[in-house]
Amino acid sequence: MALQDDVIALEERRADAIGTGDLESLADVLADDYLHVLAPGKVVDKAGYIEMIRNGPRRPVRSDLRVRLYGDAAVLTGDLENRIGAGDDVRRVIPAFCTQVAVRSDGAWRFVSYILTRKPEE
Amino acid sequence: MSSPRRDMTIEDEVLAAEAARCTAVAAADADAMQELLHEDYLHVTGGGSTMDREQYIAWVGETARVHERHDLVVRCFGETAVIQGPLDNHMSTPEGGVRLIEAFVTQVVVRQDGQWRFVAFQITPKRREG
Repeated sequence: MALQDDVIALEERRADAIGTGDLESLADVLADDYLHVLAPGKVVDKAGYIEMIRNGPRRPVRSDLRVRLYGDAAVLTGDLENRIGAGDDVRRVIPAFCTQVAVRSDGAWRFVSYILTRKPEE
Repeated sequence: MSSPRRDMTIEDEVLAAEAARCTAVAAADADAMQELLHEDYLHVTGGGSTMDREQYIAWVGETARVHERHDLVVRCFGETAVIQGPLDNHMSTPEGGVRLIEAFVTQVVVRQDGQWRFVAFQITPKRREG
């Protein structure tokens, strides 16, 4: 599998973990120094982000992903639809664009950075 | 672009690259921006749309702005670094005024031939909650 595929697979694991509320799997794809930037510019660390997902179920749906590799770092960019709500109870859909950075350490890719910018809602 | 001084840490080098980028943007110096931005550069605007390097340089040439940075956090991962922190964007308006947009930015820089170049920039305005 190409390295780009590894990074896409990592993002699929992250999205599945969030969508199913599997916080253990979510913790596994995030590096200990992970920083997550929310749409209003608020920054949360790994523990804060996992707690946010525990309290606010959602399912991120990705499209048009692009992976650029620079040594053991990868930049993943693309569209994200944040479907807010538990399971099929989707209360709101937020269109956005994300830039993520993943780093490979000891053979495993993990995310170190995430920033989301909202697009205008239709 | 000058080479980094020998006594600079990697974090210092990355912050110097960001200071040079802000200077180039404020001066709308297309040559300096071309040098600082990697050919892969992808710029994400506050509305979530994207531009490549040439589109961004053209935009800065059309709409003057000053990027003011503070409280930056730099993390290095080999030859790649992530810069995160607030950005005060002083944007010129068609009416001749200046509009302040307070935002947060994540940037990615890579070291290429001894020079740090930006490959990604994403800004998210602080105006909305959620």
